[in-house]
Amino acid sequence: MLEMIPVIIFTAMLSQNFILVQFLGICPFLGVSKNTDSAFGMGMAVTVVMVITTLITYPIYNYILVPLGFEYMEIIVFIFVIASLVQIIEIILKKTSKSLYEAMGIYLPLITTNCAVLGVAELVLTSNLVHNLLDACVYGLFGGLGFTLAIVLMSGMREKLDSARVPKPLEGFPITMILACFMAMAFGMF
Amino acid sequence: MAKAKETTLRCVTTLAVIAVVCALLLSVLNSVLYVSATPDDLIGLYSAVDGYEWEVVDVNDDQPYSGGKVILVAKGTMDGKDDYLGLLVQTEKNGKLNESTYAMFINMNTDALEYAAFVTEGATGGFNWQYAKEHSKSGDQVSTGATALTGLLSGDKSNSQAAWREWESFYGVITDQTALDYTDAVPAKTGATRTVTATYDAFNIVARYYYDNFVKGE
Amino acid sequence: MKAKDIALDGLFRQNPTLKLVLGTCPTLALTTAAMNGVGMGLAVTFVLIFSNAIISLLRNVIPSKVRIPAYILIIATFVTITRMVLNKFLPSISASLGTYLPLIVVNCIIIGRAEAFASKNPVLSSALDGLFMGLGFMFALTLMGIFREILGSGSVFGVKLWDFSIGFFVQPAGALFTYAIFIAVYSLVYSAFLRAANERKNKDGLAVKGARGNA
Repeated sequence: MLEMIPVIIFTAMLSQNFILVQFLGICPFLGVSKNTDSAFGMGMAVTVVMVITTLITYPIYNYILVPLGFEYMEIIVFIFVIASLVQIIEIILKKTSKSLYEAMGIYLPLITTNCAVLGVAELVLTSNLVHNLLDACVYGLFGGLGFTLAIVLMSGMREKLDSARVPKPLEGFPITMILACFMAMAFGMF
Repeated sequence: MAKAKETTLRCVTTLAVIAVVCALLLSVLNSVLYVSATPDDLIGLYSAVDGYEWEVVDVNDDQPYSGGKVILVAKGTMDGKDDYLGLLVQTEKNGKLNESTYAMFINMNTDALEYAAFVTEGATGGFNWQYAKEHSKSGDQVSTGATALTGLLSGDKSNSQAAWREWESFYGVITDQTALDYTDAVPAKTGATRTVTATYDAFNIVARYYYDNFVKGE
Repeated sequence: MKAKDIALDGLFRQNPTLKLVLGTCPTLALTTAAMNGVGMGLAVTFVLIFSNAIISLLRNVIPSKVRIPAYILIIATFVTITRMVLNKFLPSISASLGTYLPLIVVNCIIIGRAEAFASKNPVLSSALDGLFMGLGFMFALTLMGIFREILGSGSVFGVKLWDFSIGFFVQPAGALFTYAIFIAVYSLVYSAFLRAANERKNKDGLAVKGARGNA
């Protein structure tokens, strides 16, 4: 079923964009999109965690939890995997690459509670497009890239917004959401 | 150093204790909240059997069926009316589509499968038996399943019996669109196509079960 | 802390959705219909009450180093319980919340209240805080759900009102637009409320001073 891969890429990245269509990962989208560099750092960190998470949770669910009849432990197991994964990545980065740690490290603790990560682990179980581990990982990878795309685009606009005058009640979150609204309309075209 | 070790030990123990307690709590609750079937689940689903008395028949689970299992068989009786067999079939969880439970009603005098309905659905949306009957594939698209379905629905005893005997598979009998159309105007949810597969499984299981236990011997 | 303050904070002054802007994912994704708002609100309220109470109960036992993983474990347990209960008693709500039900685990409101309130306050006020924060969340979500359902599908709680509808409001973009409007209106009301409260305080203050002067 390799011909499904392009469909998965398109769906995960654009037509079912994590941020703008499924609203997963809105907190970092609003919080870490003030400048392009940090937005890119956050996006990359999320992408890495999303891929590795699906790589671990998909087999755990299908080959351990389901045969044992422990489906009800799904939420606890998934969040535990994500929390430990984030810790481990943080430790490895700290020990091996100082520059990478400086670029991505500060965003890592925020990722545990990022809806997009637990979201992708759950979504690959439901999605009609995902039939095996490869599909799941591709979904995770391009979902993450779609996340990065949205957050980087947003940060570009917010940099401009700083110098613009905004009606008082719309300052802060509301104007950011209206910007996101226009982006969502564009993504809705896919 | 010893102090640091002690705190680490305390951290790990606390977490482990919390995790064990949580897991135990969940497994207990899972068994408490597990939904087991009773004949009450058959009441109110099919208007033709309103007011019937239902009596549980032991489920014969000698043969395992693929895709799910029969979880309840009950015989419905009412003075001066045809006997009915009510079955509850639970299809297996398929990915994120949860177990779905279907109720099916068979008129035991005509052997016709008269009605099928969801008791619990693994996905949002509903399945409408009448609609499926009107839109099942037949004629040009004849498949064994479609013939069987038409026979089962005919209400004529010899046709129904022939259909139960000849039945092979219901896969493809109902178009995917049927289930999607009947999602009650809710946008199609994840699991809609899996719902169709689960529905096929449910029909197949009931057909096989009814044939094995009620038609074969006659 | 007084019960009245906790209630006012949750419902209005510190409304998790409109003031703190937490738990945005379900707010945006599920407000296409009013009933979804009620369902999600109930689920979150249930989890909040229990996770707050338990975390508060254990606040002196859990070492601060591992408090976040411990909180997450406790929250995940109650989310799973909520899911089981909904599956058993309200399967239709459980189905319409779909993926967003397990995602309550990472809802910032819950971990946020655990960290900001339950870890510092006694059990009873923590449970109350959970109740009112949850109700505040439910209140905001239901209002947004009603607004979007009326404009987007011409119905309320599934009851058809008229044939007129603007599809934009049930689309993702409409969610962001609606949320923006709600926050803007809230901040207008809130600042008016603050001004009124200040004026009252000033007046009281003057009156007190006047009284003293007389004495």
